[in-house]
Amino acid sequence: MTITQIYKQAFNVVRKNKVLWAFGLAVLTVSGAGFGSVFNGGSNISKGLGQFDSSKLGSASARLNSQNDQLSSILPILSSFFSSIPMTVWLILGLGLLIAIVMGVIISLLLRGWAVGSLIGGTFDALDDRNEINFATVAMRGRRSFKGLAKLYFFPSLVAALVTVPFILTSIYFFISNSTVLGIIFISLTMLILMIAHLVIAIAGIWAERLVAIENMPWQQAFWQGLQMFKTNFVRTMQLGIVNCLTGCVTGCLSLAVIGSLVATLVIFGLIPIIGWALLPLITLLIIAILVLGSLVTALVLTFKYTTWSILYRELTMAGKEKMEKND
Amino acid sequence: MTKGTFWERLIARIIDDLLFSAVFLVALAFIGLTRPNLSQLTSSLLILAALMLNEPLIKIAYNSWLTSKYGGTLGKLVLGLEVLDENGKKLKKTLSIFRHTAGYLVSGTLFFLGYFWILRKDKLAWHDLMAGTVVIKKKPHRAFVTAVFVITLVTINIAALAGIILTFSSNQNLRNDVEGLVKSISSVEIDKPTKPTTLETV
Repeated sequence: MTITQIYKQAFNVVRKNKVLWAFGLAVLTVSGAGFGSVFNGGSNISKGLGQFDSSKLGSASARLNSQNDQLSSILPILSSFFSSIPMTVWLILGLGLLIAIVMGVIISLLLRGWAVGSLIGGTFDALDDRNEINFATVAMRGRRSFKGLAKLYFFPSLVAALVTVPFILTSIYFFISNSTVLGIIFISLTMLILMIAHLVIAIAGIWAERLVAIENMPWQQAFWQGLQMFKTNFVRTMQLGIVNCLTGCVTGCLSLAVIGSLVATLVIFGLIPIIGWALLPLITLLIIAILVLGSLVTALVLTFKYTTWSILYRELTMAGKEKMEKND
Repeated sequence: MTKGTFWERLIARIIDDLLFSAVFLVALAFIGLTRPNLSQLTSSLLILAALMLNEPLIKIAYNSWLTSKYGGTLGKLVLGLEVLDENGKKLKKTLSIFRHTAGYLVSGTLFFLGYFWILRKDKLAWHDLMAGTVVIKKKPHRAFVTAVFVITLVTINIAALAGIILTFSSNQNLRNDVEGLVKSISSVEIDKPTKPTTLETV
């Protein structure tokens, strides 16, 4: 199957099965993009807008320095005030915070597992045509695999984080011992290795997600088999990944262009004093419409990408099975 | 069996939210009644904050447990509504948790579109469609009971709010402590060397 054929089929599936859009929205809400956000995720408009402006760094640090003196004078007053609060109160607050964080992480992981499981299951049911697609059937697909998927999201991330810590500590050691050049080289190499590792894990995760959601495989087995699938189908995986990435970029840019032109038109009209105030309700409506349409478009792109991966997965696994049967 | 309408379910939700806000405001009013100083108030507020941090969890537990045990939350019960599964029975715990977590998550996306779905003919929200549940009107003609509940809860909320304002504004201890703290912080700012004027710079 060529990428054009995959795209055509995915387009038809997403167009016909509007229920999947809701699950795309759910995945977007819970995880941003799910596993392999590099290739899976929707447009990164919000991330891009939120990026840090490095030009402001200088002025910010100058302001910070002047505020530091003031803060250091206030600090003793505040610390003496807070030290008057009993230790048990801090313990209760800490416990509350801990419960909220732990439960929040667990619930969000489970919800993410469910949403992704539903979306993947839904796309497979839609590809199979014979299965009925509705809220109940798609939601049931997620309920079968959410625990496995939650583990798949949690444990590799935990391992990755644990592996990263020694690297960071070593980098800090280099800087403390005044070996700045060595430190920079070490950090650069570390960053490169970690980026590649993250990319490989993310792409392997795309296959692993499907192995858990469709084949009900345990998460460890799915993870290693996902890596194996990535290795054996490297070219096809990368092809679809890059095309999906470009699709996301193009959609993001188009959305930004549409939003930008609308905002620019309104600003131009808003500059005329009499029209300016009259435009206020229109601007409010426009902001709401942009938010709704933006979320919908992002969810649609996400659903579309999940479907393209599901189509390729089906093709690859079917080809693999046929090969095995021939060998037998 | 008639199904619960969008407006009935919305009122039920408002009653639940009023109940939660009443609990929070009454707790605050009680704190105010003890005439705390700044340190005591901060301690009480920190404990309250520890609870508030877990509010989503408490809400999930409240919704799931009451729905599986009694067929609905307080709001729904007041309006005579009951949540049933596809076999016409009360929800099992797992299904109830699913409905109130994953179901609400999907319904809440895209500006609560899944909730507005109840306005359609089948009167089913997205979380109903997903969990295979239906909200029926078990006891009709509950307008009077509903009105009494809503008025009572609104009154409690307003009274608690008024109590908070009154007790805190008349608490001289607290006022002295706050003024003392503000004064000591502002004195630090006064001690700070002032910015040189243009003339001095020249």
